[in-house]
Amino acid sequence: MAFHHLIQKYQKKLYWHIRKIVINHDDSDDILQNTFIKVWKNLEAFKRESELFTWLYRIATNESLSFLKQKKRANFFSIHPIEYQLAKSLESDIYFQGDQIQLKLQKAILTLPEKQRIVFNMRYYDEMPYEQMSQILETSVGALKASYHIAAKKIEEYLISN
Amino acid sequence: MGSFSNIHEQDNLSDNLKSLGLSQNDLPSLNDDSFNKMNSEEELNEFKILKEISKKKFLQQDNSLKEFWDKSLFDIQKKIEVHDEVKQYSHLSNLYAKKIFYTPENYFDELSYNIKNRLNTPEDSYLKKLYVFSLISNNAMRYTFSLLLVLVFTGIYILNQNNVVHQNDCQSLSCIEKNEIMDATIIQNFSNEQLYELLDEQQMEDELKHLSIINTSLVSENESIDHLSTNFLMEEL
Repeated sequence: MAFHHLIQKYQKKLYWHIRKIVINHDDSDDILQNTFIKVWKNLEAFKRESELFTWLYRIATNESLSFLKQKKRANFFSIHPIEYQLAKSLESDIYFQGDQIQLKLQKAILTLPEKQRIVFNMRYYDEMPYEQMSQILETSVGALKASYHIAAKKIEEYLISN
Repeated sequence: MGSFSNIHEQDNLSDNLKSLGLSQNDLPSLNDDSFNKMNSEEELNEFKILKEISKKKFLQQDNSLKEFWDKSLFDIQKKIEVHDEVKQYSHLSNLYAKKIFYTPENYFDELSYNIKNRLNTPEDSYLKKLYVFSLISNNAMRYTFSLLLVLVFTGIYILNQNNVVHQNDCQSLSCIEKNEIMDATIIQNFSNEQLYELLDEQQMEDELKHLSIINTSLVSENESIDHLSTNFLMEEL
């Protein structure tokens, strides 16, 4: 019952975080389920050195990054990088209802390196404080701020040039 | 009395909100009730007993209200910080935080049930096969497998090369064993002079003698070996 409540409480936040990384709904669903299953299996090992939410977020982030790594390996012989394919899939995705400008923004975000993309999403969309992001990503606040600003600058340049 | 006794507090609040770039109307989660409650405390000052009773209740509310205030202000401050950060990027700030991704209907309602089903289902052999495939598809295994393929094909190529002898491989026949040449299925690019070199003179003489014995029986008494044509000889060679 407690696990059910845990899922109910964090499912949306974690889902949207994962979705912004992997874009596709089905993949996000898979990763989210894997995240909660991992949480279930490792709940006893949770040492409470960090907050529960921070721990959950960290697992979700790592699962998403692992998924992207696997997808890259499977995509080894393709001429197009995985980010290009994700951007292409957005155009026909029924669960994406942004206009052309929003589509362009998502394509711009997908040009970023993975970790930079995660930092950007967490700050821009989730409005997460840097201190909390620091706990989740295990990176210093200064590095996160720099990463975010570099990401925002790259996206701005992409939007201007396209 | 009767006036908003916390007028100074209201002023302070307005000032605080102004410093955040907000007006009172911008606080979406606060409503008039919270201000009314703060007013009522002052109104009860004349009625001590009544105040004593309601004060406890109000204090309880006050604590939760304080938390509510703190959290609201914190959330607002967070939004403003992020918004200010993005302001320097004009295109980004215009696109700020619109909802563009959607989920299937009832997705979140069914998620918990789906996760529980997965937890209750034992891993099947398909997942094990996936695991094996993932082992093979990692980088180290991929490079090892490629190297093995290269070695196998190189070995096959080398083995096939042993049955072919090329004259161009060495400058003269002396570097090739005679029996290797004679046993080779293919002799390429040998000139007639080089082939003659291969011929064993003694063996040729023996064969000729053998032939001449045979042929003398065929040749008449008056014919000598001199009459044997060179063509006939060449053919016999």
